[in-house]
Amino acid sequence: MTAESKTNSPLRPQDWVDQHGDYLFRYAMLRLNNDNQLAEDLVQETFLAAIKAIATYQGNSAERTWLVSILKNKIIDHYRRKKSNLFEQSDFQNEEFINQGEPAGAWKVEFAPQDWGDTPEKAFEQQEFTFIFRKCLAALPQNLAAVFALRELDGLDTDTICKELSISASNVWVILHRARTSLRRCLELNWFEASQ
Amino acid sequence: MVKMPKFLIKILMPVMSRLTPTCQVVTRKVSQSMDGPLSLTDRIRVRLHLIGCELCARYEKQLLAMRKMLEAHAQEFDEPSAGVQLSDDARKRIKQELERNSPS
Repeated sequence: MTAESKTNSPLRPQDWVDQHGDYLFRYAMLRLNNDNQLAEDLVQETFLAAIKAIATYQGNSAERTWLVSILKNKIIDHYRRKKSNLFEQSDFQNEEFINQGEPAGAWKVEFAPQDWGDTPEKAFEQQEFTFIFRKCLAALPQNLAAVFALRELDGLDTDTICKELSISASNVWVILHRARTSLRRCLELNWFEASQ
Repeated sequence: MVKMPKFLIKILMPVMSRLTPTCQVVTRKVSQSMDGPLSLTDRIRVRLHLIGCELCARYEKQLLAMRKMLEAHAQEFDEPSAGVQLSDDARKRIKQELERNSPS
């Protein structure tokens, strides 16, 4: 990749696609659950918005950083434009636990977490695991994936997520818990259990 | 509570179930604890539960591991070798759009 220019050189829109296009595309793909079409559209929108905003570019951040901040807003805008109930959550009826019979609220045997070993994250050194991990992430429903990405990839705290997406705190907790539950289960079924 | 010895379960379960919330509640709290501090009471109840419940202890460990995996995933995704890039078509189209909208 090209290095970010740290000098206050004038912006060169004609070079943007070659210099930052792939970077912005990956940034969007990672946060939009690999929606190719949408990622391309938002990258294009980002560049067009940037052209219009050229006069406001202060030059105190690198060109790429500036473009990323525009893209970030485009992604949030995209979710805001969606149906307003996209992020509304009913109670999480987690099927992994006994809710009729005894002991209520305990793990069902078939869902009980398996032993993943001492350093499960080491699995990432294996190509096959990376593949499964991507598949499991991509399997998350869009609304879960969106919030999960803001939290885990961008490190936003739940207050900020509530404000950005105009959703309640309890919805955010439920969404994050759902996303983790689903990802955990998928990894366990497709990797950890299968490799035992 | 699947893999624990039966006698332990017999002794622990009644005590623990009265002292701590159910596994279902604990996993929810464990998830929440990844996003911000729990109240002191919750923290104590969750810790107590995790001491006696191997499954929920695993669950917590796994969520923490998943966070590290996500980090690794994001890093790897950013490598050009991951092959995620604009298609030639998209590249061309975006360039054209940029040109069309550029101030001359």
